[in-house]
Amino acid sequence: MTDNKEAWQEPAENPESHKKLVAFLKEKGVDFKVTEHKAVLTSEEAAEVRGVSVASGAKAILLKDTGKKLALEGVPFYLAVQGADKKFASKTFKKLINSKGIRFATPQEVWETTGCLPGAVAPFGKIFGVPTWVDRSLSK
Amino acid sequence: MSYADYFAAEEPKFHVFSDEEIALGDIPKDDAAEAPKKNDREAKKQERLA
Repeated sequence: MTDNKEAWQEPAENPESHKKLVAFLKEKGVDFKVTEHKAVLTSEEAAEVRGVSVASGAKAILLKDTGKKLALEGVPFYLAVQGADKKFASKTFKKLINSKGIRFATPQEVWETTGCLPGAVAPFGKIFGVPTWVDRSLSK
Repeated sequence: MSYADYFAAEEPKFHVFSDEEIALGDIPKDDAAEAPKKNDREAKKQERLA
């Protein structure tokens, strides 16, 4: 992974990440439907293009462990998934993973870790090799 | 795809980390575990004083 953020330019898109996701869902026997829409960045935009309420959706947030020593050796990133209409409690999540510090991943880190553009990260850390934590409210 | 399908496929870890859920009283496990300890200390103190 490079730190040359100024030189990094956001790519157009990566069909490989979509292929990986579709293959994963098929492998798991999940019933799903593919729909296409314009690129969106926020939960509100996503809900609008899908014609659903914001509250009905979930958002996936890629986080970087910024502690000098990683909370989990070899695990610099985490995926937090919560209701799209809810605010992320970073202090609580930091405590949860026992990290000294966390921050939102940069667009470049999102791309390099998931192969997705910001706003298009699937809530499946398994396909990216990233631990996934889901806010319990989604299971209610 | 339903949330049930999603949970079955991803098998994530569940916790509480959204501000709204915490505000509703569904507090994180660590905090919940700490709360009774404080109450226990207070209860013991009251016993000693009684």
